[in-house]
Amino acid sequence: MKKLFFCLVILCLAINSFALSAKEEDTIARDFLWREFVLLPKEKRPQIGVTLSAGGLRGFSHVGTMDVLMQSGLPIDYMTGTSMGCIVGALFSAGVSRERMRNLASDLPLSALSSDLNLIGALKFLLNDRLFSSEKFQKFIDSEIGGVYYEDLNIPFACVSADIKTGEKIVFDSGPVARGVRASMNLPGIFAPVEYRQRFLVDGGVVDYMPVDIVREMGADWVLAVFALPDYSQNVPSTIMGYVLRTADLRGAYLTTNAEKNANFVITSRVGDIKATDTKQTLRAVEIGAKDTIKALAALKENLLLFSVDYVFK
Amino acid sequence: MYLNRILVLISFLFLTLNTNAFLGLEKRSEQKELLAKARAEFAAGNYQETIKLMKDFTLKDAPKRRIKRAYDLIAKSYIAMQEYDKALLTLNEALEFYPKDLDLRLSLAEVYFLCDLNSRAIEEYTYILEQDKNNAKANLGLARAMLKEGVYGKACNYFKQYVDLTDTKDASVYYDYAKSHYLANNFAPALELALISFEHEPSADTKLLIAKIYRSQNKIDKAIQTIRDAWLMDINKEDTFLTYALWLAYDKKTADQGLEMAWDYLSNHPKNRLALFIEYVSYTRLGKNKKAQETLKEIESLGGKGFIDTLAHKLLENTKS
Repeated sequence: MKKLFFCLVILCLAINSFALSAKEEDTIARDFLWREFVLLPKEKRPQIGVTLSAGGLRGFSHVGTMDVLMQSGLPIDYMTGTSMGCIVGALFSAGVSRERMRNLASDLPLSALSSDLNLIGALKFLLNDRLFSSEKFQKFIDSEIGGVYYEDLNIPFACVSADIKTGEKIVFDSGPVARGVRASMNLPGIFAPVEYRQRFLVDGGVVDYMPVDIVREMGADWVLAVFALPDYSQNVPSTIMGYVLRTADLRGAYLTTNAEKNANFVITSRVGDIKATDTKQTLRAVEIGAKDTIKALAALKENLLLFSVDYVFK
Repeated sequence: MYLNRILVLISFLFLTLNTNAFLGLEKRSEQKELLAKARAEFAAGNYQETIKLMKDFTLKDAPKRRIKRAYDLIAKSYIAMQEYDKALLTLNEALEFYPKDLDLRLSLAEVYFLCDLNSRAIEEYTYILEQDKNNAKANLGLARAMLKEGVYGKACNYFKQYVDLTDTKDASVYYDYAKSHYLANNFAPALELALISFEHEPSADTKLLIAKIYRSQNKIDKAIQTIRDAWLMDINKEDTFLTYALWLAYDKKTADQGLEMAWDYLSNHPKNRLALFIEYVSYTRLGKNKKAQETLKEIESLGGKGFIDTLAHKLLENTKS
């Protein structure tokens, strides 16, 4: 029976003289190895970390990225994030559904960020130099994830904030998730610092725009960095807010250069034409994030497989 | 005297109107005939003739709906002849007259899809669905465009919409629907849909998809049996053959069979990198490490720059270190 079968094989090969293209051969090998890789138990493969950059509302592109990564079957063992990357990362690690995250991207009211985003708050901001409070946002995150602690998250997660007094990088990886998230997205000059354990915490993007090092410290062997491209519109800002955001973007771009080098693979979401505060383009940012991730997926798989080759063939 | 003149004038006017009406009727029936003839030519597969007939069509005098049909027939003929650039030109010209016509936009979306202008196709299909969300063809078109684009979750949603709307028995729809679920890592619905597709129309491609789903579900024996069946259904399909060989090679128990298949393939295609890679996998599984290394060197010597080549290089480096 076996002989007959192989005779058939030889006969077929003699008839068929068309060979597959190099690309098709690579696809067969890659897809096969990828499926084998994702089936490996956690302890028999390298630990995978994902870090999401800051980026204001542009950073909603991370929702699209995570959506595609989940569909690809990529196992994620650790996550970190800064600012908007922290928000998406926390929601994702807490198991908030992809649909809900998309809904948040399309419907997130600015009023959820602060109770001061009204006429009185604006007047206080302009006349009294009083910054907006982000306390309401902490409550909003709590309501989304059910008040969980870092220790309870499905995927170990940490986020970064900065102490405006000392310039230190503060990592949140224990205690209530919502507090860390609030501190991480607390844009200096707009939101009042979060006072916590004698520290004055502002947006982590000031010191670490894309925390690759933190996710490595957590235990990741292979790190994927997801970078929401900053504003490269080359316009001169026309408002105070514009200058604050542009400064954050420039600093972010500068800090990211090093972080990119330390990551094993970088996905760049080309959302640079979307303003950090543009609430009307958040869904577009999600779509761009998804599209750029799809484009990068084959190369990502190859990179990870080459890194893990000894595990796959063990 | 005046009365006579008036009568003559009325008669003249009446005659003129009648003649015009008669000529108009004649022209319309001529146009109708021409359209019917063109349609018959199209149905018979005579696309050049269809285009010729429709280009002779008196566009200016014909009623709007007939001009639209003429354009549509010309575009469809070009699509059938795979002359997509001309089809695009025709449809764009037609859309200048009828910018909101959904049938023309549907044809335009189809051409975009066929030309690999996927994002344009998605734009058109989305526009159609905004006007008519139950447009079955647009749902199917958008589903396929999303699948091609790699947006599998959305593709699944549109396929579902199409199936709900039409209760189709088209095996290719279920195949694509199953593939979308498979690529989105939803293996249970993928299997169910692939089996429906196979039930409607058995094919080697569907069998291969079912085998891949089983493998992803870690049902290795079932996967091997199914991919063997897939290959036997169409022994000329090299991708199935090589995938089958790779699966056998990867398992210690069947690595020798995988090796034999790789050798058979290499006897006809000695420089095939995938077959060499399968040979390497078989050797490692059989514990023949020296031979495995030789195979890696052989792949490296081919000087390719693809994934298999890089992988071979990396494996060699790892062995050295």
